[in-house]
Amino acid sequence: MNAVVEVRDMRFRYPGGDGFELSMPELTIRSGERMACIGASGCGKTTLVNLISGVLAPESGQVRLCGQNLNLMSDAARRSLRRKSVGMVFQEFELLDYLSAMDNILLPFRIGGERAGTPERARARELAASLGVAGLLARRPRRLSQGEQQRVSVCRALVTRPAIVIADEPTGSLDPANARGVIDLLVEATDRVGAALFVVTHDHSVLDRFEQVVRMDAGRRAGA
Amino acid sequence: MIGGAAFLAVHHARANALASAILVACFALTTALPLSARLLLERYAQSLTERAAATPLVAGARGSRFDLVLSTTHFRRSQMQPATMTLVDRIAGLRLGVAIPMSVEHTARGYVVVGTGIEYAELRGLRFASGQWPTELGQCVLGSRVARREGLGVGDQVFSEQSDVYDISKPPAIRMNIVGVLEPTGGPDDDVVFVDIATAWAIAGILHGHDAPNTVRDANMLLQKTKDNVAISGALIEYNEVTPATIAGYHLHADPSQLPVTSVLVVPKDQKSATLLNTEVNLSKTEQMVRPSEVMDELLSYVLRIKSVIDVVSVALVASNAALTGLILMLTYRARAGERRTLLRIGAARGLVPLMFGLEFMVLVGCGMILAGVASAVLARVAPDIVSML
Repeated sequence: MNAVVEVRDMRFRYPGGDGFELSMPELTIRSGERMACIGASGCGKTTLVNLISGVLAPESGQVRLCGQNLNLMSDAARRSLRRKSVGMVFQEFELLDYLSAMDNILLPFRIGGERAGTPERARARELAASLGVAGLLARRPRRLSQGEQQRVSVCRALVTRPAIVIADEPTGSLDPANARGVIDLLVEATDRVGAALFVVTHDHSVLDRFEQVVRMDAGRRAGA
Repeated sequence: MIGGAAFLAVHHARANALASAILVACFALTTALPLSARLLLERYAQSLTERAAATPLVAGARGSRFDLVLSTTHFRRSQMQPATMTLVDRIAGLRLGVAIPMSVEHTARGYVVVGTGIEYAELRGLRFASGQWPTELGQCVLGSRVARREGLGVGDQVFSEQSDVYDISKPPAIRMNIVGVLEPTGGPDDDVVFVDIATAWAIAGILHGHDAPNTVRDANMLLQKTKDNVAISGALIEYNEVTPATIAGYHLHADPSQLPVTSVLVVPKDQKSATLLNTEVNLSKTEQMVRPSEVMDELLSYVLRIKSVIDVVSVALVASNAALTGLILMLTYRARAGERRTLLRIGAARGLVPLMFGLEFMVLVGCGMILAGVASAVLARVAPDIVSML
């Protein structure tokens, strides 16, 4: 299987930060693979997400996304690659409350200056149907339940047919039963499209759904 | 990128319709208010100067030059001392121009009744939509706006307003026959009722009609009767309409040369005649002659001072609004931090967020400007009406 994300000898420090350093000697996420990342608050999980998705650039080492070395790419090229190859899911769903569910799903096309034409809309409808929110596409997020918002955000993450879906603590504010439901949703959705899945979570009860688990401790990979 | 930013900007503005509408209204008001004030002021100044420029000379009793000119050019009623027909006769006797008596004392249905002669209509180039200039006592011609607003036309009648309805010794309201309606002029002539100067005196009660004293039957009305003189009570009911039956009964109790006029509009033959007339009349201690254009320039210098005050107020208004807008934008930017972060994390170009904010701001400012433009255009259309009310 092809590597979607490859990290080698990566080090990162926030400019003017408080001395926190993230160090990741090696990390590989292959196509269609499911990986979880766990660790205490402040251990660098979200920083790792930002580094492998190209939001942040490492101080040293190498990060490759879909075979492309992010260190060698311009900021604009990294953003473009992220938009096309990475689907992001957030803890609070981060849907734009002034757009309909449909427009939220199509947002990656809109912000990329691409036309959200008939094929893209068809793709959005297909995803919405597969996740059970097809009848809610005209609604604004505030008129959707939390579960429905979560599903719409997963649709948004998948609409560009990304190579990897990265979910940053998608179960952070959920009880164990609902957390399990969200993880199942992400696993099923990514399996259906063949995308890799990288999930940052605190919830150890859902780790059995992942093929690999990365443990983080104070900015370092503590084990797998 | 612009398409995406514009899409988000427009949708955000639409989704927050109330906030957007308030901002648009603020931008529109900030633009339209100073613009409208300037427009009205300029139209007002223009109306004053144009009218004054078309009025060669004005004579009247000594007193306020402004009152004298405004009563003649814009028919503003004032408490100024009237002149008399002596002044009219004196100016006419100099044979240096045409002297047109003007009476701006009375009202009918709230509109000023202007007593003058047909020379006035000729000077102003007044054209008749229907009818003609009054040829008999008790007839009147309506300005176009008076006719339109009151729904009156040739053949209708209109009453003058009585100076004191509780004093029966005061002259009664005169019922006037409308014999003409003027075409619109866009000036003060549209808002008045024109009568012959003699009719103005009739409204004042100086020229009046009543039953002949020797036919008065009510003994209470007969105060004294001698072989040479008959004195009757002021309470004797006067005629309130000039008809073929009553017209013969109208008469004067005063010396015709002492009949009052508000002012005399003078059209000199030439520049030299104007100078001679000016000199001649201004030698008098009780009368004066002025050039309306000069008086109006003086008046406008006060108006221009007000204009500069408006300019300062406008600048302050725009500055305070700009500061408030800046504050709102800053707070909005902060309030939408989560949205900005999300857009950047899902791959939005770095310039998309500022562009989105900028476009939304421009859309709102644009709508405000359009609204201000529409309001100003409407105002420009109705400006003559407003100016006529000022």
